[in-house]
Amino acid sequence: MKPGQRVPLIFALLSCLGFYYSDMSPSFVLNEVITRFIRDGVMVLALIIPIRAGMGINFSIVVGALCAQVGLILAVDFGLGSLSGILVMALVGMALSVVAGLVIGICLNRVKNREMITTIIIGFLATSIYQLIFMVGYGTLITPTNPEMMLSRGIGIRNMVDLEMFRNVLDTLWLFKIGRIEIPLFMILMVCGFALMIKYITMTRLGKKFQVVGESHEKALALGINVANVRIKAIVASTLIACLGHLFYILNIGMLNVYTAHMNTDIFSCAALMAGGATVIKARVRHGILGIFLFHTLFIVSPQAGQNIFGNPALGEYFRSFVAYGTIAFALILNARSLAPGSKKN
Amino acid sequence: MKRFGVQIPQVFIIVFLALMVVLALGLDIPMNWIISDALVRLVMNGVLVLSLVPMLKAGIGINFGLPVGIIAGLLGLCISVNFRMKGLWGLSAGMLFSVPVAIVLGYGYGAILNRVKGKEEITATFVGFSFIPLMNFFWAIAPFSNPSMLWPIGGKGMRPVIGLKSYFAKALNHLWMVEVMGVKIPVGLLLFFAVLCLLLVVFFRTNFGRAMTAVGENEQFARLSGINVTRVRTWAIILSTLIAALGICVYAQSYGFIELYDAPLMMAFPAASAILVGGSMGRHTHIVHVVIGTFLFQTTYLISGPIANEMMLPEVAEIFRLMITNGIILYALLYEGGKTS
Amino acid sequence: MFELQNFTGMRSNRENTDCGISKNMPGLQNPTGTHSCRESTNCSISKNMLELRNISKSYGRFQALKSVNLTISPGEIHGLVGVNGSGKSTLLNILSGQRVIRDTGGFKGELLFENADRKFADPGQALGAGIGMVHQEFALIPGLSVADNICLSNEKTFSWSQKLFGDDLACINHQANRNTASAILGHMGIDLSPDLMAGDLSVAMKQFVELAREFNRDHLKLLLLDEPTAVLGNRDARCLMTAVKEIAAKGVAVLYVSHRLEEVVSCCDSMTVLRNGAVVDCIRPKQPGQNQDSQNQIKTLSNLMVGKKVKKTRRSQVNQVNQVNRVNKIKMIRFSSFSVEKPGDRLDSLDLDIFQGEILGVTSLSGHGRTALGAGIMGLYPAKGAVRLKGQPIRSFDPLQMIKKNIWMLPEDRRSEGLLLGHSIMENMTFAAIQTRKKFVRKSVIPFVRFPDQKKCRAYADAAREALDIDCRSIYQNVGELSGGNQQKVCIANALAMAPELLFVNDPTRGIDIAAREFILSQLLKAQSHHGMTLVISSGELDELKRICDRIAVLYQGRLFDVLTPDQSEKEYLLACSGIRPEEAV
Repeated sequence: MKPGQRVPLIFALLSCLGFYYSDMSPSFVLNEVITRFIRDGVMVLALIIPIRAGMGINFSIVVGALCAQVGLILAVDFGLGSLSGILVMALVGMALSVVAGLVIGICLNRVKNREMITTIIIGFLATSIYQLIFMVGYGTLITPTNPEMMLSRGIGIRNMVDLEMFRNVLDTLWLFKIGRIEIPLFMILMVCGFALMIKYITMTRLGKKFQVVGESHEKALALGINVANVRIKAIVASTLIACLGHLFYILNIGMLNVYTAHMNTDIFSCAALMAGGATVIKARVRHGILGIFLFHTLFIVSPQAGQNIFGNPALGEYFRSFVAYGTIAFALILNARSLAPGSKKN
Repeated sequence: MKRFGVQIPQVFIIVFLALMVVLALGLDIPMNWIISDALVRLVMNGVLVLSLVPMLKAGIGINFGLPVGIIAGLLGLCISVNFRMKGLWGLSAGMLFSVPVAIVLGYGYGAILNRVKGKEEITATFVGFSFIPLMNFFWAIAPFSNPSMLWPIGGKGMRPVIGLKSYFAKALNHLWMVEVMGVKIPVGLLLFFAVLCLLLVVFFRTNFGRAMTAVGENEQFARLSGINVTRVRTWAIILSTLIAALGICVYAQSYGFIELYDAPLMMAFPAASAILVGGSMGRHTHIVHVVIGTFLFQTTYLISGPIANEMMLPEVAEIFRLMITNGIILYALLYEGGKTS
Repeated sequence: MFELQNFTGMRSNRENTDCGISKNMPGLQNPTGTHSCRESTNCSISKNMLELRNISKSYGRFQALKSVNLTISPGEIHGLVGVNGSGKSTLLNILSGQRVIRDTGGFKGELLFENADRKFADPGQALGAGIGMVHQEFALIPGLSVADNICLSNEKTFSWSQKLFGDDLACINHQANRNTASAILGHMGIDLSPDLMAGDLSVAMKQFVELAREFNRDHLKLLLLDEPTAVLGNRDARCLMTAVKEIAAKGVAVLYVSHRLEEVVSCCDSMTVLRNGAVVDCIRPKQPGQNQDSQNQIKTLSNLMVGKKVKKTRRSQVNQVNQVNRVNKIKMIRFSSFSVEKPGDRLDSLDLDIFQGEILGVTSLSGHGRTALGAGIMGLYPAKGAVRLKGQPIRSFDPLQMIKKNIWMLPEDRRSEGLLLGHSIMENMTFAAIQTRKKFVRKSVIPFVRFPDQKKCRAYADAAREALDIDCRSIYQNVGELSGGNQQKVCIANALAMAPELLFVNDPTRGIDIAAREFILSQLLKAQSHHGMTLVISSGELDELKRICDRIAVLYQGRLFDVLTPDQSEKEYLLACSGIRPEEAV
């Protein structure tokens, strides 16, 4: 059986086991999964294009998430509410993420074959810069217009920013219930829209170029494709989608944890994608969609299952962070073998 | 160009350090305290940095999977504490216990990394990351009996932070401590580090050590010369893991606490950054790089703390540290990548 | 399926449609069948699709091309022939805008394409200008279907999406692409489903798909074919040539690079012969493709390719020495159906005996398997088959096993396989001997901890430096700083320290200047005569092999074609390398 089928099967099995031991009601789990689907769905989709372009997992989608947070903080700072606020934050975030994507893309063109480790470090570095700006820069160099956001000492933004004015703007659109299951149709359609958009991109000329570059740089060059340019496009697209995805995430939660909300988004999105059967060299939209459901089901049920099986909820917690990291490690080990020069077919 | 490129992080960090020393003097932070602490921190972190050398030399890259070795060391220390061993003997016993653990873990870790040639660094990162929650499982149910290591309530599972005060905290730090002009010099600690460095230098002069360097420089050449490349790489990884285990033992005694659970998660990055600051460039790594790099890097770490505190912004120090750490690693990646493409 | 079509019919058709050829007719009617290129350029400047004027290119100190002139008019099929290393690939790289050229300092001279001076910085520009290329190592994307490959970067899209989102984000119309692909393949006379994955195709089919992709380009003006038939059987080759002729009939200029002389003669309107980077001659046959003439032409071509030979004195001496050894024919090693899967240079079921103390040459065109033998024995690539060393079967192919059996190999790529460039000369010379033979090792009381004996190492290195005349500051100098010839000498010193009984040498003189070449060859001879080694030297340099070898095995398409003696003529070798039996040729 191919890993593309094996991994989702393992996840399905684990989820079922966890669900059985957790004693949770199916409707609760389903509601949670739907919420997670809305929150994390787009973020997972953001990883697909770089993988298709042969750049591996783009851990620097964290940067896209940071761009979204910057946009959001600015919107709150200027006291913009409701739809106009959402529009402003989306525009600011997108503009920032295009710039960031360009920079990351240029960096990654220097480090062919070591893209993944570089994106991880870029993510860390961007986090530090972001923290420096909002923890130190605000109040010293930048004067906020909305003093309520600030820490009492006058320097730095508070850890939590309440998004009262945006809460339930999007989630409640076209909301309806089937039994005890709530379905926010608009948001689901939005995520599906993103999925379709990425599917569409894979079917275009650009998508074909991504695929060709992903297979071999030399061949792509010989065929007259500007490899560096295509790779930058892939990263810009990924960062842009990640920015929008993170916006969905924060708006759905209704609260911004300024300094930690973006953390681990890369790991969890990536693990979800891998759980759906994608690999480091091959990813499709359907892997993303399937992965979100499988991974988050396991994520939701495992602490409770841990409690019920071992009498210790922490064990379930450890189990799920092991699953997140382990899935990625497993995917890397599995693929490096198929990529080894010995098995390369000409 | 090569000389110039190697120096950019060093120049940056030296300028930064000089700036901070001036600031520290201005803020009346005692200089002799800084120097004695810098010496301690050099060894405290130096052994961990040293552990990167065998893998770098063997061409496997930076060991971002340092947590694997660290966990081996932690296990050894815990066993020692469990038997209530005290003083230098306790520390030595901890190191001794961690050796077999490190060899076993290193072997498995090596088997994994040998399967992913060319993608070792990213795989190592995630092997390290995923090993931590796996060990958390173990720590939560570990069959240790010394109550000072266990949760006070319930008496089951390890504490996240275990105090070593009544066991072997600072055992090596205080060995042959000499005070010269108000500066405390931990002679025993420095000697330990020097001997370890020397052993590694000697190792790379033996036949096997040369084979390891050759594998790192030109794998195909080594293979043609009848060297079992996989075996040599495995040994390099085991050696790295082993030194990392010793490194955390030194670190823990110096710090005075054993930190379990998620504590080792990010430890690989400052170590990697330190060796890069020292001037290491992939295979071209020398022990000197370790010493210089660790000293520069850890001293900036050290001074930035009190300065930030004086300026009433304690978070800044931590943010700056992280920025420097990751900035240097990123620079090294981009610089090395730029050479090949 | 691959029937040979009526050539003459097509040809007349072409001459009617194309005035470029008829303009050149006076030149073609030259009774000797040869004609200088320069003259013909003068008479039809405005009609040339491509004109090269004094193109020169050097890689470092090595000059790959020396003021090459070449013209191709629309609809002309121009053959380019030359032995290995004569500069054909460099010329193709310049024309197709490969980055290697720019990265190594560009080229000198004028490249006139459609009468405009061009310098292509990357393949994209060349493609944009209308220069298509069929690569020897396929530029097909294995993960895409045949249709996708053929239509690559020339995809048909839905017009609504193109209007809405622009070129890059236009949705590809798969059905239209499939139809295009089927049409082109059908036109070429190939029965192939456009939905198959390119990676699953046979080598021959890949070649056709590659060709089809170039045919599909909208404004193809010049087609470069690099050894298009090297991987094809005779029938497939004819089919391909037919297709090429058809595209030429539409006014596309074709530059056809091939080793198969009979193919070039039958298919090309004119031919340029390169030797050592310079144009030797340009031949425009009177009546292209006519049989009675082609044998003569092949002969002329092969003579031109080889050039006249200077007799070297060493050969006779050598043979005398070897004659003595060959009296007692003890089998050193015997290969039976030995195959090596070296990518791009595979060896297929070799049956060969090598005798003790002889020097066996192995030659072939590049990519036909000459470097695979040593690499396979040393276990660098998967190998199978039966090998008996002095009657003892060898079961596993692994460097350490071979070293224990006194077999050693000098790889062809010194820098990436044969040396530690960052280490000193001394360390390189003694490395393998220290590691595997425990030579130059100090006795040690502690088990497993052994140190090299620096004194012995230095003594050996000094002696070797003296004996091999290595030009260096000291034996502690880094090998990476040495010239190619001196590096090869260090490799030889390393091999001599191992004292093998059987030594495989791959391309010993590759990238080495003339003076050092002779010295290295003499050292190899010395190794054979003084140390009684058996040598297997694989090289593309026929002339060198003929001077030092006792027998020379010629490989063709990975199979042993023939074993020749050094006395046989260059022409016989050339024919054998192209897979032609002497009786077929005459």
